[in-house]
Amino acid sequence: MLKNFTCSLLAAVADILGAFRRYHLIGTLGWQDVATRYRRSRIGAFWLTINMAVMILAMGLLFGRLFGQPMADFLPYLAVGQIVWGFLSSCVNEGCTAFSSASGIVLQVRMPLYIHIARVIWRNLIIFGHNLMIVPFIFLFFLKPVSLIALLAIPGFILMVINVAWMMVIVSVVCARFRDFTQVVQNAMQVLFFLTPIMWTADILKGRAGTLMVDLNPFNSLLDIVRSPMLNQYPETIHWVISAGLAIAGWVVALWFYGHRLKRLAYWL
Amino acid sequence: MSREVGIDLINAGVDFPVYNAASLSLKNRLLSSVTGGAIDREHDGLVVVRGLQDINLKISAGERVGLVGHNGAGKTTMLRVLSGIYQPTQGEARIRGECVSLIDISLGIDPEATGRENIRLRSAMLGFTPDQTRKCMDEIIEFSGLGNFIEMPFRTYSSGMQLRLAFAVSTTVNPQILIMDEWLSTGDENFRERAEQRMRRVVDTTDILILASHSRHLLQTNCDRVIWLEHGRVRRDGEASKVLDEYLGPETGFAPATPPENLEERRETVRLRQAARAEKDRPREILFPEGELPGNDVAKLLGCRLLRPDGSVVTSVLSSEDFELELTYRVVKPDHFLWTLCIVNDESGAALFWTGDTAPGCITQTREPGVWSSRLQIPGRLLAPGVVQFTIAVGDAKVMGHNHAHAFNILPMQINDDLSDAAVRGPYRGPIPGVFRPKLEWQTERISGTEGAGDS
Repeated sequence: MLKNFTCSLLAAVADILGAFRRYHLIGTLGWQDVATRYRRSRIGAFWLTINMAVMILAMGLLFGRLFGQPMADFLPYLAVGQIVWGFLSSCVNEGCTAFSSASGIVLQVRMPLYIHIARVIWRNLIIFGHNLMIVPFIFLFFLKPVSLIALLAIPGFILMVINVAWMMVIVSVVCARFRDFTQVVQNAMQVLFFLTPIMWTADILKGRAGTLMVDLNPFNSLLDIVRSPMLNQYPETIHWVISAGLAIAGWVVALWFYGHRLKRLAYWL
Repeated sequence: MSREVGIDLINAGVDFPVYNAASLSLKNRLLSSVTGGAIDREHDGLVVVRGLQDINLKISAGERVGLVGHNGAGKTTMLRVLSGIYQPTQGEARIRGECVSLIDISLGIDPEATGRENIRLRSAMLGFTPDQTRKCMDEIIEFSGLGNFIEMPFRTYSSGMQLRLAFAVSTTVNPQILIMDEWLSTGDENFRERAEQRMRRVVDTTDILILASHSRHLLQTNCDRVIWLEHGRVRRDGEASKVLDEYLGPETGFAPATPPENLEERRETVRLRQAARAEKDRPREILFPEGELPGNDVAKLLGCRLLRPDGSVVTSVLSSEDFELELTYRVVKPDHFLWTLCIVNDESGAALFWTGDTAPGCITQTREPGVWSSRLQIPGRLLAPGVVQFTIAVGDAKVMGHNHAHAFNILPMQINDDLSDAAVRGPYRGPIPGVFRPKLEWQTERISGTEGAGDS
């Protein structure tokens, strides 16, 4: 039992390390994905930025009014939250099809399978980079000060990506085997979007109901360690602890699961 | 760490779950675990196909292995196991060495991207570092002959250009283990010879070649060992011509080179063959050394070569292509009636046919001293694939058999099977027996109706 466990773990680690050794392939494929999507458009991937900006403005104006929030606070909050969540959710959603959409490659070329997951992460990082450009504009508009605290967002973001990566490992393998699961995951992400304080702030819930909904939601922690520093606040230590714990536990499970299923993956495609 | 390149399959087997839409869905899986019974499981559509069973193989460096078997015998599965894509569900597969499989050469091509981008994309997939890609970029562009088109989107290319580019990138590889499903070639006439040479280079430099094919000719010229799969098991594994004879029936065409007797000899043959390949290809052109010119005091042979109609010197052609044998000779004495003749022989030296220059001029005019050349045109769709060689002579046009100069069995020439030659083959792609493969006319007509047939 223990031997099997270690074997799986080793297989998974070998695969993932092998994938990173071919980082240039991940880079090429990820860039290509973004380039392909916007190939014949004049401003290319900046459509992403525009789409995101329009959505943030529309949602910000609507929900800011609804919740009676001051725009100068709410809009930056929403913008950062929405952009970070956009990265997280599209990573997980696209993780579902990481293997099935690359079946042509998987069945013809032997390469570490984690490459296909890393490719999805990389292409979403590129998109994230495009979207991030909205933030300075909004901050500038409301003349919000930026301090060195914002630098804390970088380790926060890295920790979040580490978490996203193990989630993708699990959903990609499960979805390769059970294609329906893709729909389940997408629904779940949609629901989580509403349950996580992105469009609304955790303060609103105070004195009403369901603060548990926020406290027990690990996605809230993942979001907070990136969002708070960017909004000039120190993230609460508890969010860091939860995120780090989640990363460790998640990766152990994901590695075991991945290593265990790695052998069979190609047969499912 | 330098490991000997090789592939070992030990009791390897592959069970292939075939998921239809029903069993791929989670709902069914959940439902079946709720209802639980064995019957439901059977009805959930999960079919397990035994793809491969009890495969024991050892392929070591230097081997050229062919894979034959009818459709569904497990060839594709086997190729995937050998390239490490499928890990066997039973037993073990040990693959040592860096391995590239060329199955679909258009893999990963993005039609919207430019040619250059596609080269980058495809070569990254084949395992090139950006540095290596940069180094071979110009060479690929040059080879594919795309010129300025390289900066245009791939979709704007003609199908010939698309194929040339895909082929050029795919054949830039230099793997230790090369796995191919059928030989890579291109339909483009002008490109074929160069493509063939390039393919040869890739195949010759790889340590292990594994080639699945239906073509006897391909397998026989490229492989020393053939594995015959049937129903997912190895039916025969052995020396190429023997297994092929069993699989396809004895060959009626060219006799293969004498089969080596045992394993050691076979290894030796592999080694020698590789050495020979590394040395150089066949001579492209024969020029007899001055002082040893074959011939008497009337005429001496100077040299000979094989040409395409466009004048390029060749050592191999496709079975559908025309080619010319050109001999040059020096006429030393005047006042002789001369003609040139040629016997086309097979690889072992047995004559296939004889031909002489029967133009009236040969017996009405004597030839002035000087250097002369004669060209013999050999049409395409005459000789079957294989190796032919030539016996050439300059003789007395009036006395049959009286030759002034001759050379025996020179200029071996490879005739490659043109699988796409529909004029001769129709849609058929498999092996064809025979020493000749001419295009002949058939006449078919209906000579009576069904009543007539019933009456008789």
